[in-house]
Amino acid sequence: MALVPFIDMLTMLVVFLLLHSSDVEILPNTKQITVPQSIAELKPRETVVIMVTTEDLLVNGRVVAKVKDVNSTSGDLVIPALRDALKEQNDTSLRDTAQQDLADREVTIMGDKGTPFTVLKRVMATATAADYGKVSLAVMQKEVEVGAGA
Amino acid sequence: MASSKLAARSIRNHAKYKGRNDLNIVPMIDMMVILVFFLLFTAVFSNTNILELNLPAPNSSVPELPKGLNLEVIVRQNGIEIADRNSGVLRTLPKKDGEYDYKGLSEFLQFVKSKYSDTLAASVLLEPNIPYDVLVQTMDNTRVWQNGSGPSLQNVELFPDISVGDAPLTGAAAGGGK
Repeated sequence: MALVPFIDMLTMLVVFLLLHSSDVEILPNTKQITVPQSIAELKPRETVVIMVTTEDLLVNGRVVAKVKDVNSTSGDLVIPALRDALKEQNDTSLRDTAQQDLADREVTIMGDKGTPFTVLKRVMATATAADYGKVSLAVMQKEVEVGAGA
Repeated sequence: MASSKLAARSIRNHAKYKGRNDLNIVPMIDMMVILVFFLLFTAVFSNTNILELNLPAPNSSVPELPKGLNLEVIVRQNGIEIADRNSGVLRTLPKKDGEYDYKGLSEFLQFVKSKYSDTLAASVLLEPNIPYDVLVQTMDNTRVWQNGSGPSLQNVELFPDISVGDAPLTGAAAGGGK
């Protein structure tokens, strides 16, 4: 029957896609920000995500502050709104074991390429002030140059 | 009633498939197509990874400076400086054509690594308005050195234990990172 090669192709496609969908997407995918590329190879873990877009500051998808207000060198390093949001996340979404151990609390910062360091510094200072022991930066995996085998 | 309906269908099917002994694969193809589309739409084609940072707890006291090398990579508006907290600036790399000289940074850090092979820690210190992208690129070049190209690409570890802080003011003595 003429359908057999077609089924062969479909089977191959299904198997290929099944294998490639094994790494689950943990970090949210957004069109609003461009995350810088890096050669880092560490896989993201399930953590609280602070997203810094060009306009807003989000904690797990909820807007807590405006970047414009944060981007000033004067005043206290800690951003009160962000700290409160992070503390709240502490009590709800984190695993029970992590709640016991401060050093195991993790937060991932997803920042836009152009975020000034002042903003980033304040976000990191707030994260440590809200008792998060580990801070990670989210980056995009750099594309391998053409001709380089996997 | 139901049983007579079933019986009627059985008879009808029997008549329909009489003399045909190949499998009816059309439903299977339907399922396959649905699966392919489902997997295509859920597939992830851009991999997001993370860079781990080494940040001090807010209430911890300033640690005693360890003896030996305290490497600092200072990113300024006009270039990158590599310094040792004890002895001052080691090398200044000005911007080339408006771009930071990551290649020069990588080469000099390889040289430093060859002298102090036990050191793993480094501080990346930035001026206030440096974009996030520059921080990540600097961290990349401080962490590892990519040797070779193509399939023979190797990552050689340089200073993977990175802290981040404020750059000391220009003209001031090196040191005093936050």
